Amino acid sequence: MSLVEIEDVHKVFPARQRGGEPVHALKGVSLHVNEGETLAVIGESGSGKSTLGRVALRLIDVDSGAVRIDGKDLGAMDANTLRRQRADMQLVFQEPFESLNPRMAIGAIVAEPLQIHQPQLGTTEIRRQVLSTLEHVGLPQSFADRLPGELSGGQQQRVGIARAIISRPRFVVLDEPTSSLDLSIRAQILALLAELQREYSMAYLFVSHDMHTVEWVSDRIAVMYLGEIVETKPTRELFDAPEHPYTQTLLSARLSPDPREPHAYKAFAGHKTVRDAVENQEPA
Amino acid sequence: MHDDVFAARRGVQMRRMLRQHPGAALGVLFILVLLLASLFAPLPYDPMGIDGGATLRSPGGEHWFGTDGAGGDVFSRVIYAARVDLSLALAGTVLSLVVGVLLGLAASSKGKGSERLVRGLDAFQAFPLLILALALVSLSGNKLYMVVVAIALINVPRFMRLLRSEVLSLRESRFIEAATATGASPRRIIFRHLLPNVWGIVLVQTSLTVANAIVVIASLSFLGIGVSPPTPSWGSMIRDGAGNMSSGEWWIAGFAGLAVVLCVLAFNQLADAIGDRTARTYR
Amino acid sequence: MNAQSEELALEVRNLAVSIKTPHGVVHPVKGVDLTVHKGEIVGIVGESGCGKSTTIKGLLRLLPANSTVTADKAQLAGYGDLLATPVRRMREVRGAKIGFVAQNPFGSLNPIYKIERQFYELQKAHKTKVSRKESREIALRMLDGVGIVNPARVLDGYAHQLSGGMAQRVVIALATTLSPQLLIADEPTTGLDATVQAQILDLISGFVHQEGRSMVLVTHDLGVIAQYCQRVVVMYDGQVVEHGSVMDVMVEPQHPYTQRLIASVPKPGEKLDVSR
Repeated sequence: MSLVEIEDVHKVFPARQRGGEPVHALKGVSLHVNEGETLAVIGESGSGKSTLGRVALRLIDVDSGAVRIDGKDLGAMDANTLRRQRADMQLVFQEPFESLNPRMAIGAIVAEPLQIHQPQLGTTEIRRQVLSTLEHVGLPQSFADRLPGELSGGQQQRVGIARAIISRPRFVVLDEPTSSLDLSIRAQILALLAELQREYSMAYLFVSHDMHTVEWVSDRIAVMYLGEIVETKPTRELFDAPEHPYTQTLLSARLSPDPREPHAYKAFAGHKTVRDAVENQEPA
Repeated sequence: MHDDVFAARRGVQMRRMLRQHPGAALGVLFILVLLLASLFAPLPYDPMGIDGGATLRSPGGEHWFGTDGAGGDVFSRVIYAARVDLSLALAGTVLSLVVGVLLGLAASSKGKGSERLVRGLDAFQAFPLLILALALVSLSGNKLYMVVVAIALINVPRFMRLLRSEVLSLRESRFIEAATATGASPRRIIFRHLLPNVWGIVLVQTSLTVANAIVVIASLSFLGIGVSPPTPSWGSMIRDGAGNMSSGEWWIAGFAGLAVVLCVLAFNQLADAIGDRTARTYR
Repeated sequence: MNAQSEELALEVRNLAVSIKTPHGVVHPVKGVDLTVHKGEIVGIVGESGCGKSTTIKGLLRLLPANSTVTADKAQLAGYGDLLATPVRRMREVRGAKIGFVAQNPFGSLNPIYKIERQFYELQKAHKTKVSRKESREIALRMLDGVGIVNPARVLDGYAHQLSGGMAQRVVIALATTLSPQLLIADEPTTGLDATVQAQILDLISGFVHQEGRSMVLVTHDLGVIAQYCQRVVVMYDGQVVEHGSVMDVMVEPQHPYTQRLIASVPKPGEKLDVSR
């Protein structure tokens, strides 16, 4: 049995403005994440990949379908059970600064999951674990008393990661965790995430739009296009033999940093983004 | 709730804020001195006393601020009035703050209840609240606690709206989502994440509310409602002194008016300083 | 690919930018050389804060008034020295002599004018006589050229009705309407989806290579450099740390910073270089 199973999930968001169209973000999405593996979800803006990441943690309720972790249906849990379950499943955000309470000390932010889920540990033990976790993600212990605004983007993301791993979850959703970071910082964060995964055998659902990152980080890849998963395959296989025309288009748009490997972008007929669909409507 | 295992160093913040805003520092000092003097300082004359032989004396060595039509010492009365006027203003503000924040939180939650609360608020604010407050206090027979209620009546809706709009925008923020994802209870989200982030702006509003309350109390007692003679209050002193203005005895209404103006200015300065500080540290 | 000649399109020597701030004077660009030959695309690459954007904004005189731009030379072929031109006359240079494509297309488009009017204003500002009808025809042709399927509808609409990719196409159409010999693009595809990025870059490089025009392409994306540029300038802390042909620099980088930058692109099966 897989650690996380998502089965035929549908989600429609009501129209933002009066008279607008409701957005069909997920149209019957199914996937599973095995213990200790990284499943990447790749897609372009509006493909529904971020919604999928939140649905996997039941931060967004689904319209139909089921999300199970360890065989337990998240949708059937009452509020208290779900909160307890969250010790085992965490989230790392795309925007490191916005994801940290600007008034809380770094130490307090990282301590929060333990205070919620293991208050019996006591202040001294929580303190000890927070400091060692900070060190583990590559931050000096002295950062515990600082505020998020005093840190750089890369350091803020390390704090976000420390918060996510301190309760030793088995499943972590990483929502574009490196896309707002500079290239060299990005590499450091990716390396850290890989190291932590080996150490604690966590399963990652890695949401991204960057093919280079995904190719490096994932065991398997699910390709999303307009609210559907069009192809799921082991990473190597997907890059060597993409089947769906959209996957082929996506791969052809990948720009290698090695000039000896030229690309040839190849559009596929009927390629649409959500915004294009909006544009093609008749003006009111 | 404050089982903080880590806290950012912020002990010096208040001191630094006052150093960067000398106006606010001066204002705080003025209010403190005035309040302490009204409570503990030996006044040169009995503030309630009258002296038929010394009416309408102009300011000088014997009566610093002169005397009023009944021979009361204006200096003693102006200082003593702070006891009632400032206490009522502060009490009214605290009541507005507590009720307004609680109702504001309730009005910013999801669901039908909060929607009804907002509708009710709209309807309530359609009343001319100052006149409502006036009627309330005079109908109660000039009970002082009704003045406190009256201030709350006027200011609770302001706190409510402020809190609601701040909390609604904060609820959309990523760090609240992060707290939810971590498994924080709604209670924890309110006390650890929402309230600390609206505190600065609530403090600004609190300071402004004190200033507003001082004016409301002065207006009420100017109309002869609320604080009743012989207890001195700035509003009634202004009314009493108004009649003497035309004949040149400016000091009765003048010094009472000055006290109101300075208090209002002090709290407005403080509000500015707090607002500036909040904006600078966290944006 | 090797259509470029030895003829210079742009030659910049020792360009420096200083900005006065309340906390003192800062120097985001400290003496940058930039040589662009006819027919080539030169990339400027670096991480945020390295001064790459400030360099070209300084060259185009698009920086706020509290900044000073100096250079020993900033020669634009067929025009003259850019820094000798008064700031108010630069409007004539931008558009006619240099086409500029900024990162945020919505910042370049006027939100309250229809797209058609923006083509008209541009042509009117640079040519003495153009009728509304001629302007519209030119605009239709330009939009068609950047791959917009229904140009008439776009012309009759406003910027906010467009997606990021579409808006950037419109900006490119505007920037190339007066056939400038040099195009300068500042992160033109950052924030766009990968497929849209490929389409847009194919479009711009097509325009450049058509008639021996040239382009300066500022980006943080090494893939964009490797796939679209012929020569590259690597910037760090306001200075050029390495420059040369893309084949040389990207395949065998000499400077340690360039080496580290290239090593931090994740490659399957390889460990990431995270040494600092």
